[in-house]
Amino acid sequence: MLKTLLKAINIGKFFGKVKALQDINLEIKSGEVVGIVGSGSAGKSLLAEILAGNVQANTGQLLLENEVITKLNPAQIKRVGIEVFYQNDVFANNINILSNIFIGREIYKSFAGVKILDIKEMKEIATQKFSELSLNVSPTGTIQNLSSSELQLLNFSRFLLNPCKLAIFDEPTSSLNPEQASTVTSIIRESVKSGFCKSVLFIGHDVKEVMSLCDRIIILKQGKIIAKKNTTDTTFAEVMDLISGDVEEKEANLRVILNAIGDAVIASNIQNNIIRMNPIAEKLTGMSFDEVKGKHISEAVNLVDSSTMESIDCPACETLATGKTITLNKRNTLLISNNEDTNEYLISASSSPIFNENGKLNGVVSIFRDITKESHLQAKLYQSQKLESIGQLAGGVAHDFNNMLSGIMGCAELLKSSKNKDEEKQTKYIDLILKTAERAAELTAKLSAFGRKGKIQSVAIDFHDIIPDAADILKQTIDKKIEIIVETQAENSIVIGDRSGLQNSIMNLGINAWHAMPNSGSLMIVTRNIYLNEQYCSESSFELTPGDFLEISISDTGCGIPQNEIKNIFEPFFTTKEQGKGTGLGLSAVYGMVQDHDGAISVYSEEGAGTTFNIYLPCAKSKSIKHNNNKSINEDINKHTATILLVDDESLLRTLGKALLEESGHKIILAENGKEAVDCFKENKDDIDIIILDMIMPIMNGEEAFTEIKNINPNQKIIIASGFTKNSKLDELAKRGIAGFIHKPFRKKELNDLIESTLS
Amino acid sequence: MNFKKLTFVNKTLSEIFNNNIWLFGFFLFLLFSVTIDGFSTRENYINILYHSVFIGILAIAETYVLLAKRIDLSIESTAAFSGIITVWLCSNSLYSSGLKLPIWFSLIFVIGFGLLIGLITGFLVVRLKVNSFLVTLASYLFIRALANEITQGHTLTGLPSTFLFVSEPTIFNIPLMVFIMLGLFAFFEYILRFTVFGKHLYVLGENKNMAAKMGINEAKISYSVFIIAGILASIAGWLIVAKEDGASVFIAQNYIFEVFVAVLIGRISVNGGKGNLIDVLAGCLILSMIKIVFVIYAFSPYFTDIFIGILIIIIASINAISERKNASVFYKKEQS
Repeated sequence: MLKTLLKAINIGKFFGKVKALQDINLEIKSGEVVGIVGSGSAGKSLLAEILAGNVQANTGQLLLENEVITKLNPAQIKRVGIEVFYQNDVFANNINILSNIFIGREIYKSFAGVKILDIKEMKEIATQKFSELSLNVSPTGTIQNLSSSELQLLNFSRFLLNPCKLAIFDEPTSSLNPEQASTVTSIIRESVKSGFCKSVLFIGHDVKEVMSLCDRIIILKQGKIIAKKNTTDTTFAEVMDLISGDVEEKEANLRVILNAIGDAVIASNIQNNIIRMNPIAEKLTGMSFDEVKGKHISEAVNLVDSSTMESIDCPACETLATGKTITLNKRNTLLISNNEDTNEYLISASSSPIFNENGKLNGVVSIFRDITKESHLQAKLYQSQKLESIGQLAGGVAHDFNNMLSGIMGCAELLKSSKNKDEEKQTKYIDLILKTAERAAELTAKLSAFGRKGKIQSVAIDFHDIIPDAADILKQTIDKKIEIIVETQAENSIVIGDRSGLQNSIMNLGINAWHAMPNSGSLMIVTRNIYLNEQYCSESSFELTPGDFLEISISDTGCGIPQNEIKNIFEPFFTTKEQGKGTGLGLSAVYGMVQDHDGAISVYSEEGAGTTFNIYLPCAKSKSIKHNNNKSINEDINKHTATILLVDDESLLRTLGKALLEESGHKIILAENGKEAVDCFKENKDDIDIIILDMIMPIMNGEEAFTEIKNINPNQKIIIASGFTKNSKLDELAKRGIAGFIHKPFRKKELNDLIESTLS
Repeated sequence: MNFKKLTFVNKTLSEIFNNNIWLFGFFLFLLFSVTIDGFSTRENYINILYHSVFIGILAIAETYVLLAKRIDLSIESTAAFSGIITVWLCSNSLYSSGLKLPIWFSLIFVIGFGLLIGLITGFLVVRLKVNSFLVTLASYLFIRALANEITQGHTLTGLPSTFLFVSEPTIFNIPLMVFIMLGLFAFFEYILRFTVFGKHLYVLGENKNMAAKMGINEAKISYSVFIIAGILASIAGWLIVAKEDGASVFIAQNYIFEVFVAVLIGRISVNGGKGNLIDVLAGCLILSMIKIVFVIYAFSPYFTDIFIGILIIIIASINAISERKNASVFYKKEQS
């Protein structure tokens, strides 16, 4: 049993609330070399300073050979036989090397109480000790010119000067090369063996060195002793683990961080077996960590190419093979979830290698980001922006139709100047004019509708009335081999809008479907009511208001649209048809029409299987008025005659309107402005059936007049006429109950249709 | 190349300023001898030495205090008190104690007084940790006033002839007091150089923390330097009256400023731990020469004070600059 030399009991040191050291209990026995290791902030040097008496501890006491050391200061510690070799602040620049190493341990002769230095003796001893350490410095030289390793050896040479009970070293080899360090450690061992120094407390930075030198090691962490080990009973790895630390705490930290990451993170080991994954990864793969722990990463991560549906290797495998970071960033990688719904996620993925401290590949960390939503949003944005700009272009193109007008005017000139009344020739000119004008009108209508500049009627329409008509026309137009199926499932099929425009849209889609099915197939038109919620509306590239919508889906069993072309189909002038067969304006017109109706359109297509267009239109709440189609075909015969108050500030339009309406058998009262209209209405309010009201007028505008009239008779039918397209003001009026909307200048058929539907 | 040049310039500078105070003094001596009529006489040379005695002894005292990184402004007043009290105790003057005490008693008395002053200063500075500048500034004021209070400001004369044993003898025509001063310089330089105390004093002045770590007893050394300073100052005062054969209220007046000129020329750093007494001796002699020159040219005493004040600033500036230069040379070496 070895004798206890030094005992430290319950040493603690606090700086304010910070506990730099606490509960330090240690015992150093005679003949023992004890090492203290720990990370940088563990408190090793502070402990040395306390044991040296240089720093006063807040708690605890020191016992040397079972006697309490009462006054803890460096001089006292030295006196009881403890030598401390500090890391820094150990040399004075103003005295030479010899004086420096002998500070506090000078050799002297007393003369009348004066301690006179024995410089000769000291020089001899120093020279001898320096050679033992193979330290090549002159004792009379100055400290300034020495390197850090020379200084460290000089400091160590002090140890060789006096025998002591306990030597405390604070990292005496930190600046030394391995040879010098091994010299130092072997000298320490020899000194203990020979009894020059009874025991040594060695604070080290190099754990290997400390373990080879010491009999026991004490591991310090955050001011506490966390372990005491005999060096024969432990391993380097174990000590390193203890130093670097609290495994549980690190684990908890890591988990919190991983769980907070918004992407799926999967870590795998050198065999690519999963060792860790976060909750997002569990969600995307559809598997819990417990299920896949230790399994190969490919069992959890099932990647396919979205276009070919061929499986893709997980980038982790490549990373493991090459040691490089691999990124899958093409927007065609699908992650197939393993849960029951087999969700698919469009993802971007990257795998990075994990290297250990020796630079050896240790595993892979893979990150998967769900870009499904992002990708959809991007596609929609792209489409919307492109259409917006090309829409403006199309508006500009309309001007080119002036050329057609030139032709018309030319014909008219010819007619005017033709002196001989050759009726045949005249008819020919007239036919030419009409044909050109019709074509021009047709094309401008399409273009304008697309560019949101067209004239849109706003009346309540029952969509279920439109579909059979459209189907009838389609049946006559398209191949008989194609079966047309109509399923009207919607309960509320009333929408506000332009009947002919919507009908045209259905026709357009129908004709496209026919072109997609050259041989045979079926065309299906289905209506349903759905509710589009806020989220859907905000994500949509269309301006949608959440609420009940009528969904009209038109699907075919045709060839489908190639994936790379889908994003282009609504662009004007984009066509896959042969030159001359299509204008490329059909679908873009549909797009514009749907947009004008505050609706949305989407397309889903699979090559070889078919295509489905879904149109969403907001449902109207009021019941629509049954539209009598037959009547509108025969424009000259009207069932009803009515008294109509026509209000407009432009005399030309008043005259024209009056002429048109009187031709249809209506009785017309004219008014120049809102005020006149209101006065007139007050006089004849029982007689007037319909008021056609211009919006922008002097004295009193349409809106004010509308309000006044509605105050007098809330049920009065009022048609709004305007040179502008629908705008927000109109929408406001519409909510207060307008009978309809007509675009100026009036056309006879439209005007009659609107009045007819308003009256019935 | 550049670096070499730089080290050369630095070396030259430090040669001149650091190590060759004696060379500088000799140069000055030659210069004055050649250029000033009446300077190069034997009497004058002795005068230079004689004039440096009291400043020299006080400079030893101040050097010890400064080496320990302290300051002592009170030595001038301690010397003045000792001188005045010596005359008061020993003379048969009208305003003295009337005790006519023997010369040895007065010497023991003033040494005891110097020791007491040193102890009190040490206690205040070491134990109470009062700044040494403030402590000695206060004692500078009150110690002289204490002597004047006792004598009521009268000029005292009539020392017994026994004092002639100190003031009269010469060796090769050089007054004994010069040898006393040189002996004190030699003794205290020896202490600095060759004793444990001397080494510890340097270490303490250089780095107080390190001295503590090395087990050096800081309190003991600090007490020691103040006591040594007190004793040396009182011996100086005693020698002054022996030479002057009396004491007025102006005894040793403004000596502290001249002491600082001398130690600063002698490269004693006010930052502690640097310098030696051999250089300080050169500083004393240089100052003494300059003062003689002033006397030869009969400058007014006010001008002398202006000169000494400005000299302190100039030398302190040169010291500060060269200390920084040395530090930067050291720094460069560390880096290269």
